[in-house]
Amino acid sequence: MSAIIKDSLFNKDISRRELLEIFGGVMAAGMLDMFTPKWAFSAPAQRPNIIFILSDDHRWDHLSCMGHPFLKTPNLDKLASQGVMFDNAFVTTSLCSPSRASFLTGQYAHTHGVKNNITPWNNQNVTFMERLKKAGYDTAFIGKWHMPGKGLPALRGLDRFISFTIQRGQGRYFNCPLIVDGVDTPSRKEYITEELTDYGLEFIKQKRDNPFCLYLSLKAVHHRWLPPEDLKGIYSDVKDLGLPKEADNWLGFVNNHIIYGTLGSLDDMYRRYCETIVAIDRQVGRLLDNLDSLGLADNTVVIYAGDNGIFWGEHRLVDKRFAYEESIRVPFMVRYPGLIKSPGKRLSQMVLNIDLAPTILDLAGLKVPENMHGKSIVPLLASRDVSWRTSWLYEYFLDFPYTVPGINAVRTDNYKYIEYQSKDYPPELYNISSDPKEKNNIYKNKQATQILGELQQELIRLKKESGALDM
Amino acid sequence: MEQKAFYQRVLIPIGIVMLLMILSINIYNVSPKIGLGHPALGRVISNISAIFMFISIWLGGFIALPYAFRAGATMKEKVLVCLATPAVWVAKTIYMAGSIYSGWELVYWSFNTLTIGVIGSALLNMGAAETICRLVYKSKGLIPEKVFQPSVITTFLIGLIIVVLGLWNGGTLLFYIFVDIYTMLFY
Repeated sequence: MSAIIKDSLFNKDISRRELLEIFGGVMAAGMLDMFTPKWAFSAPAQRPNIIFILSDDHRWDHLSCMGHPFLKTPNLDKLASQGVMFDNAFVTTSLCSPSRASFLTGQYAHTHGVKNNITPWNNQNVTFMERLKKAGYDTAFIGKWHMPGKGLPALRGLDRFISFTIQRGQGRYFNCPLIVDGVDTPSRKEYITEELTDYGLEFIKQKRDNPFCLYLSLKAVHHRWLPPEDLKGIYSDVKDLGLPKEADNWLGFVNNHIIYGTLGSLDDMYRRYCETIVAIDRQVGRLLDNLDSLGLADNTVVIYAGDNGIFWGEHRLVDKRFAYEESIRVPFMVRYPGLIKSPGKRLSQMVLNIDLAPTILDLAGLKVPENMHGKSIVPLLASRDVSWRTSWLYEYFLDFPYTVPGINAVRTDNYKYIEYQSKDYPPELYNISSDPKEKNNIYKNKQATQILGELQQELIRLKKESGALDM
Repeated sequence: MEQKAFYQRVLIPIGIVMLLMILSINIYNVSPKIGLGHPALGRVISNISAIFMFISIWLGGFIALPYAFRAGATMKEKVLVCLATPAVWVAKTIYMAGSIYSGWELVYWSFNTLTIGVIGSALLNMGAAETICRLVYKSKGLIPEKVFQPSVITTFLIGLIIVVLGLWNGGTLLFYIFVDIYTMLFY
């Protein structure tokens, strides 16, 4: 705009009409500024680099900063203390593939189409990585793709795509063969989390003029929960694991939990789970240290999240899928010194996996497409006083051969209402505020009639709003 | 060897293992409630009941077959004795899955790694228990036949292969094949 004005005003004779057009343009530009979010005024002029670290099955409360009784995660704690920690972060479907697709697209599973671990990824889906690439970012997806379909898709908008397809895309903890930009490549490091972090660091360290976006998608801490050699057994001396009272060592063997039953007793599996989280923490530490030493920390957004939670005996369950808190609640933290002016803050607003894509686009200064169901959390990061969602839709689709029925639920700040697509599973209603462990189903409680009706209406509204009723 | 009455050859061996399974499952299922008031007691009860539950479902042949063998059961009767409890357990799991899957999906589901595994385990311990019984009774001069019968060894080997494959790579090998075939058939 300024170049045109200069050209028009100083190098040419201009008519009154042209002058009015220029004046109108300037006014319009001024008007547009009125609609620019306030946080943008204080945001750094340079577009930020973005690192998104996604772990697998990492439950929200398995961090030392969340009060875990013995697990030590100093680097993740540091990340939280230097940024914002969301105490109420959830996934809209508690299953690896649908949740991962939701992170990438900002959409519910009923829209992006990856409804379970079998329905294939539709490559017509547009990821936020593709949008960033179009906007001039250097992009890399490194790690677990794990979405159904033959091999890896020809994802658009990636400069680097490093993943694995072995074990139906689950990969291996040790010596996992990779596919590096389409080429089968043997592992360079023995342990997968270190291997993927190495590739991530190589990408970050590349000389470039553009900002970058790294999507570091870890295999850990999915079962079989194998820590690296030097972390093996670090928690073997812990006597009181803090597992729930209703849990017992045999839960992995019952209720058709064959995969879990073959992996050991609940205590053993849980110790390995915690040890494997420590391995993640260590690699996150490496990444943060490198950002510091490269001088990139101030202009790099680092986001850490889990793709879903996991049960460790709560409700006498292992695995995930169900709509209880242990399954749907994930760690979610964001560090961005350029925007977050009061680091160490913990926010209680309910944020979702579908919020990631709009948030990243917003941070990059891009328009959030209307077909994304999520909301940008940038105003929350910038400590702006904004109205936020008070309810959201949870959905789970049948995933063969697991014997968990289809689920729809609505979660509000205080309540959760769950409907199952099976006559053997009656609906459930919990007062999360007074019953955070969801032990007391008040569905049939006469005093809860009003709130039940409201939540049932809200569930229908949320389905309608997100297009779930059209499916 | 003397052949005893049918109920001694078949019904009692089946009944012992079946009763053990029913009791242990029910005790295991109430153990969390006991554990709420008395955690230590609840833990002991869940551990003991779970062990018996596991034995009755997965290793019941080692209990049932020696009874049937001593009562002079025929080979067909021994097969029935060893497979009855796992079959009932499988039927129960299929019935429960019936509230979630239906039609051909349910039919296919009933061949999942867990049901195949439990049948494989029954064949494995049937073959092993029969061979051990033959070894013991032969050493006492109570049976004239050879210890190692081809049909028994074959049963043992089939069971062993199924169990090993079922446990291979943490149980994931057969599981993934099962899901892949499902994907081909239903998607």
